[in-house]
Amino acid sequence: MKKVYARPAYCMNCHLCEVNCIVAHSRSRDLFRAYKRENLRGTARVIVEERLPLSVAVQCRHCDDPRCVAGCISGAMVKDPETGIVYCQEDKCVGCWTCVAGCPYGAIRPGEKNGRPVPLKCDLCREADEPACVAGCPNRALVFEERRAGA
Amino acid sequence: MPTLSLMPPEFRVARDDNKCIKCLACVRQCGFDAQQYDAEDDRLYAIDANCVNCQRCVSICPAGALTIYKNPPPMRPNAHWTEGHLRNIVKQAETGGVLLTGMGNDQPFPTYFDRLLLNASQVTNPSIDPLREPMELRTYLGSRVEPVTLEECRDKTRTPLVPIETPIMFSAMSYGSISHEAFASLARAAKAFGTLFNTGEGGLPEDLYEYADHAVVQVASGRFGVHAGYLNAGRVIEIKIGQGAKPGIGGHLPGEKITAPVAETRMIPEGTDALSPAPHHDIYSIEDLKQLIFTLKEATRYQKPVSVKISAVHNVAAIASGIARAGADIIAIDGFRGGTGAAPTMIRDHVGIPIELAIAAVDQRLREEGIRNRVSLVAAGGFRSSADVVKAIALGADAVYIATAALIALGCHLCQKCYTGKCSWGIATQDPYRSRRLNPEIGAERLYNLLRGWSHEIKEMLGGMGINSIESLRGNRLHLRGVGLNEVELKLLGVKHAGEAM
Amino acid sequence: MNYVIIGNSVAAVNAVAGIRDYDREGSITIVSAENYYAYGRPLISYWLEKRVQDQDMPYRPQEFYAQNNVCVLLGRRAVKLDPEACQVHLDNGEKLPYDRLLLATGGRPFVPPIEGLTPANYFTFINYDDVRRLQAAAIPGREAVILGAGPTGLKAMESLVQRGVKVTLVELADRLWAPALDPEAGALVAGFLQDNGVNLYLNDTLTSVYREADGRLHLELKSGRELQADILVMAIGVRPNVELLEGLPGVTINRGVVVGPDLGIGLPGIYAAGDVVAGSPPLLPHAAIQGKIAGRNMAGARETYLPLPPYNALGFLGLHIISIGNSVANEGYEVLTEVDPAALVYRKLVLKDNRLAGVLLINKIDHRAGIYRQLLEEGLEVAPFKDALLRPDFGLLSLPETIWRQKLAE
Ligand SMILES: Cc1cc2nc3c(=O)[nH]c(=O)nc-3n(C[C@H](O)[C@H](O)[C@H](O)COP(=O)(O)OP(=O)(O)OC[C@H]3O[C@@H](n4cnc5c(N)ncnc54)[C@H](O)[C@@H]3O)c2cc1C
Ligand code: SF4
Ligand code: SF4
Ligand code: SF4
Ligand code: SF4
Repeated sequence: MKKVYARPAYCMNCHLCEVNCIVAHSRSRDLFRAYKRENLRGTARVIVEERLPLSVAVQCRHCDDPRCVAGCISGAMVKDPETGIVYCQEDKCVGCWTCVAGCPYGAIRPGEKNGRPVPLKCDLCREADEPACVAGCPNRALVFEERRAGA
Repeated sequence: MPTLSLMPPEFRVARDDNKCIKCLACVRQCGFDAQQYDAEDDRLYAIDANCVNCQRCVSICPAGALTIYKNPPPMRPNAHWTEGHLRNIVKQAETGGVLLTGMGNDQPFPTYFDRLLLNASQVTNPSIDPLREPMELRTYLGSRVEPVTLEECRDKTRTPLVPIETPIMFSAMSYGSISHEAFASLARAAKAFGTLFNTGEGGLPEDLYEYADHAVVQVASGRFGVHAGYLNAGRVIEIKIGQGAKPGIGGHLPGEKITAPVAETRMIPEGTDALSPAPHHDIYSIEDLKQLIFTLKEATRYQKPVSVKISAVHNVAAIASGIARAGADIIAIDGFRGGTGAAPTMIRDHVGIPIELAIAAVDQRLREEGIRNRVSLVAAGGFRSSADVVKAIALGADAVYIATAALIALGCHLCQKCYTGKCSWGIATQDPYRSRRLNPEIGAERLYNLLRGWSHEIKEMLGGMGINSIESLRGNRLHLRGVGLNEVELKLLGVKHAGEAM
Repeated sequence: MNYVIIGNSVAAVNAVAGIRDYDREGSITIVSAENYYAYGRPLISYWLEKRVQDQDMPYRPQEFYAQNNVCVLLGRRAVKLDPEACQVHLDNGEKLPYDRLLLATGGRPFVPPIEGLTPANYFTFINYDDVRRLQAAAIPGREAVILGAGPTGLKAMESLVQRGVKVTLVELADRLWAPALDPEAGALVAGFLQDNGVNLYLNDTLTSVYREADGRLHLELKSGRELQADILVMAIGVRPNVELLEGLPGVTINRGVVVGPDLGIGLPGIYAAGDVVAGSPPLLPHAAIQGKIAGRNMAGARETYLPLPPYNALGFLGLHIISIGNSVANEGYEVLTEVDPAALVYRKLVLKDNRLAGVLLINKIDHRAGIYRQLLEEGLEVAPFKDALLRPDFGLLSLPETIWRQKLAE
């Protein structure tokens, strides 16, 4: 499957991928509303880890046998059999955070949206052609591509 | 340590809090620590005094929340005591040092390109549509002495001509003064477009030898990174005598910029200052220069044309004549607007002559002496557009070098702080945190686009003049007219005034 | 190929997915003693406190069974296994033949003999029916005693507290959830519960119970303490449901059924997964992973299940705990901690020979938990970055470069 791959050599630690992710997962899809009305600051589903001068955007690897799905106690976390995308049906999530403990990459953070628990994890912008982080990365430090046949 | 600066900050960083989403991108990207974040209070603020107006934060801010304002003059406006002078004096009063700067001369001297206009065909000698008809921009660099005798035909010391697909090359910017990323961008773009880039005086990094076929490899007074492999790998060898931004003085790359890979490429110890002497210590005459030219040619079995680069100074025509006679195949002349990674401000701003006048003078002199075809003439120093290129060629150049324009294409905002090594745009820095901002993939694309755009425009202009090959424009000063120029200037440039007929 | 699965919960459903990874054709029959399609068993406490409604209980959407072509016998119990004839006998007398059989029967609450204890005067807390019954009894203002302060007891506590019931926890060990919390963490959590109005009796257990004339329960504890309550919940552990296997030659029972690396139980074509397996922590991820692997192996794959250390995320009344591996250990181990009692933060890493052996995180829980778990499972040597482990910026990039590069490329 097509996944987002980070190219650490070009990540410049701007964290705009986080900003674009937040906007893409907001109700309004508008930068200012997302931050100022929906209060979504800090809810990115991609995490830019910093070990300066190195930085790299870490996000879900959409595992073949996802631990987050295996551990989900409510059945909210699923892997789409067609696309391979691992995502959370957010209104089913109860916020136990077993998925958080399960993800080998540290790609899920416990979060909250409108008073409901939300596992903050990348869903590859399921409905869009290209994930928002990739589309918005000013330095092409993220690419969206197929690397391993069938994976 | 001075405790109190007498100068207020030159710029003011204004943030629109209504827009700012506190993403901190500006803080992470400002190369000069002007943007600050106080985590305890969740507050952003700016240290205006640090801001150099590089515009990195403005460009990166996703909210468009930032504007950098020029502060009002620090003292009562005075046409004689300009702000620049005042700031310089205060700075020196505080530091006691030589003023340093980067990029090219920014003073309001005349730019002759802006006083020259091009011709176009009307009715007779119809214009050509470059989209429908072939239009040749390919230019051959090197010595084109026509062999007359059998002897001459068999001469094994004739170096080959080097074709470039557009009369525009990237000028010398050494690895060390610019980042590996910037260097690689230039190399890739040159190769993709079929032109040349110039290694500058810092050698060619090992991992970029795949681009050597599109490299002008420089040999400067410091001889950094010069070895047989380097000379033989390049397409053209260039002896650097002078540079337009700092004629008559050498170079100084501070030890902080001599990182391990730079040191390896330059073949000097890591962390030591890289000093290029003002003169080549083995060149004190045209005869000495001839020796070096032929040493280099011998070392490369006469397979590489040799270029000699000088800055445009008062006596440029005579010097160029000497260089041609010394056996150079190319003469590169760098005008007083030429850029630099670091130069004393006074030198940059007050030494040298405009490139337009230098081209005209050199071309004229070489023609008069009947040796114009022995060399190609490459002009450099502040070319801003395809029109500047066309005018330079009409004045007599074969091709041009661009450096500042290339850097601007890569993101440079002319803040002139190259010498600090803190470039926010990842260009003039060896700091890996900053340099990684310039993805060479993107850099090369942008440079390629620039060459493409300019080349296309050049074809349009040539077509308009009814010319279908750049060769036919060279030295064709009839296609130029001056506006607002005095008699001396017109004479030196060899052009008529606008309104005068053929 | 004819697959039969006994049990219809986490292990079973994942086994279906596992089988279908390799075999789209074979027939699958599930025998389910419970009268429900698979639901998230841990959701019962959320349901009781009305955070989850009936329509959100299903573990997989209704179409799951149809899409995977599964026949489910709801409310049917398997009563006998005849491996000679390759048949399962059901409680209605029917006999189901199988080629491959999966035991995914889970466990049942352990209820020790206690004087006066009858099914009529206590509740268990393991399935949908349990909480449906409890719902009627859990009326605001009533009092409940929960025997056992492990994860189940604590979740029962939470849901009852949220319903306005006054809760007393009685625990035999010297602290709450003793297999996961060390004494310091236990004390921290105990303080939190007490602040939330929960009574706690440690080092104590129930010795007798009887119903008084007014209908309330009278409980006597080992310590001599006497309590009155309206509700008694037994939550002191589960025992694997292995009765179908008892006495079968070739099968080893050690509380649960002993399995090989392929999750086979030693009889041709018979596999087991989930809480029924001997030595497997009774946790949902483990049941799911085993179910998937067992299913695949039933369909011809040759996957191996490497026993996973326990890991569990438990939250109640706003407090969140993640425990991984041997999170209790102190003596003989290297222990790194970050403690902030005021903020109820307790973060502890247990190391043995420079490898993670246990993790306990209370309240400051973030994405690093998963990285810790992975490091622990992989047994990666952490010496080069030990100092970074508890730092706020610990992450993938703290690991050796070759490792994080490889992980990011996955
Ligand atoms: C209240 C509660 C909260 C929990 N919370 C968590 C948590 O937060 N995190 C976590 O990781 N784990 C949690 N668990 C544990 C988790 O639910 C179990 O590990 C998991 O459900 C085990 O799945 P299983 O498929 O092995 O068995 P079970 O879920 O126990 O299912 C077995 C099924 O088989 C049926 N069955 C048994 N025998 C027969 C038979 N002979 N014929 C037909 N059917 C039969 C049973 O009725 C049952 O429906 C919790 C458990 C409970 C009870
Ligand atoms: S947007 Fe791109 S460059 Fe910026 S932090 Fe994200 S990955 Fe790195
Ligand atoms: S969140 Fe983690 S475990 Fe789940 S699919 Fe993504 S990488 Fe795998
Ligand atoms: S990034 Fe450049 S323009 Fe912005 S504050 Fe820093 S120095 Fe000034
Ligand atoms: S980059 Fe723009 S939006 Fe982000 S903190 Fe700076 S000013 Fe605010």
